[in-house]
Amino acid sequence: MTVTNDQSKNQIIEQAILSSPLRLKIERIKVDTHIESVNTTQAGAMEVPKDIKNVAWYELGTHPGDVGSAVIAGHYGWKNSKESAFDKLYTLHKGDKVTTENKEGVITSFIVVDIKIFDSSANTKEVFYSNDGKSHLNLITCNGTWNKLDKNYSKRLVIFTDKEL
Amino acid sequence: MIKINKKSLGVIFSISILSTLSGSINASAASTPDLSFASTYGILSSTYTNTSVTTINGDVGFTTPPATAPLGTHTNYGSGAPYATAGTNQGSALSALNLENCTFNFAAGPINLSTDTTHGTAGTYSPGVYCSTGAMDVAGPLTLSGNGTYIFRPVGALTSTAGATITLTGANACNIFWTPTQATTLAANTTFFGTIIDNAGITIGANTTLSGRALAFGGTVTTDTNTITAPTCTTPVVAPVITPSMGGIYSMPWVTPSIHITKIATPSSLPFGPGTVTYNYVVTNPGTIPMSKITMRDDKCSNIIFASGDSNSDSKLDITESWNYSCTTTLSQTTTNIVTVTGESINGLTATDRATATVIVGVSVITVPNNSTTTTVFPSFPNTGLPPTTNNYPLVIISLILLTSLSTIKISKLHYLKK
Repeated sequence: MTVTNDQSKNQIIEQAILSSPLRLKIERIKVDTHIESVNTTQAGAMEVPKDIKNVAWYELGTHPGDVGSAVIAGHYGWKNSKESAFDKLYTLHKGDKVTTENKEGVITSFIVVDIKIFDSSANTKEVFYSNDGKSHLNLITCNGTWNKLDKNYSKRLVIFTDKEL
Repeated sequence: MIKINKKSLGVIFSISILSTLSGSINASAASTPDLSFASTYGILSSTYTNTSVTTINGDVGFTTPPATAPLGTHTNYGSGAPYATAGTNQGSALSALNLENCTFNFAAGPINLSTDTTHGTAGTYSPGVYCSTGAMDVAGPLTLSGNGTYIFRPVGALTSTAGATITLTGANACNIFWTPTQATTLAANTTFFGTIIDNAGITIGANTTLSGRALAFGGTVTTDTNTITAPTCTTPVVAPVITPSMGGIYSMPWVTPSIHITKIATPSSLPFGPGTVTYNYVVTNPGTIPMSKITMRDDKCSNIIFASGDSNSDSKLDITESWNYSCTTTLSQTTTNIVTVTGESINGLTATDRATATVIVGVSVITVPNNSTTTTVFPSFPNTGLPPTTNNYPLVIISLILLTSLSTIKISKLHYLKK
């Protein structure tokens, strides 16, 4: 007589699949906004949020909270008298807290550990990639001066944060 | 598909992956790896060189034989089975040993283990993982004191000085490991303990005794009038005695055993190409009867290590326990892997569960061919700046303009401040 106890048939994929992040909050600068998921442009740049009040998560990269470097970008500057999400990003200090929340309501907290300014054409490996086994979330917005010909700001401000343990 | 096998009760339970669980479990101490088929070998080598009267109490493995055969008892001699499997097991054991975290790091350079005082009392060591960036030399007396696992891990050679003696107080040769990255040379008249794993080669000097194993499956072992005794380290567990109830036939209750496993890969994706992934497994017992002989098999990760969870140290997965395992591997392409766990209950029935994970590798790598090499190019910065207009300057730029030319800014341009 055989008794089958086929637990694996009913089993769903047991891996905790991380869903896309939906909301970004930075309390100190009153940011509480929706996160769009973006890809790259044809020219190979990370895409930007469609709504300037939103921010955008680079969906081909790391999920916020996972090991690696997750990247979220937001606009800087006003349009039709409306603010962009990251207008005040430059006021953040080391130690400030940033949180993301996904569809399941999982909230992940991060702490600002470094602030850097890059040229807009600089190599971005440091921002998009890490292999130290830790979880990072890096926030990008524009900085520097506006170049009318390039229709681009000269610099990018990057806030480096580490997942809060 | 699970089959439940009814077995006779006269079964000797052996601890396989659980060989590290004999005795008390301290999740923070190093663990002795399972040597499997390599455990019976006193010498494991590609070429075994010997022209002397040498005694090996244990199996002797080689593809190129010694000119003079050693004395002693060897069930397996040469390259017949399980020689090849023992070689693989040597590799797995070395991987497991190398994953143990260093509990002490010596200063840079070669280390004289007998005279060093930076680790503690000169010449005395307690269980732990001792790591150096240079060669290690047992240059004199050495005492290994305390029951537990010792791992000596020099990035460099391992040597002893003539006449050096290792003494064990409370330690056991079964739990002592030497894993140098360069060759091992033990000098003459040394008394040595433990398992040396060293594919760069192991040379044992005249009249030296080794209570342990010289494992160099990919290299040469050379002996000279030595005695090597492989320790017997497996602990058979006798099946529990079931006494029949008074006046009747004892019968086992028909309880269906149960087991459950979950798996999480960290990271869950490697967007920029190949990298290291660690799978963490949690095995629980949702049934009503403790489970033994827990075996784990992952089809894409071969070195599953038990981390913690046997709270009462009885080597059984009790219904209140969660056993944690991990396995680390390097993935170079998108990989789906399946881990299978099997356990057996006291009534001889088995239960199995599986968990699947997929790690996506290299989705967003943008590579630029450059002659014969490819360069990974990361996405360039997003263009997140909005062109400043005369009516819509963000406050920071307004402030700069205010500071530099106060008199030229009209009040009307500051209307946004009313918000």
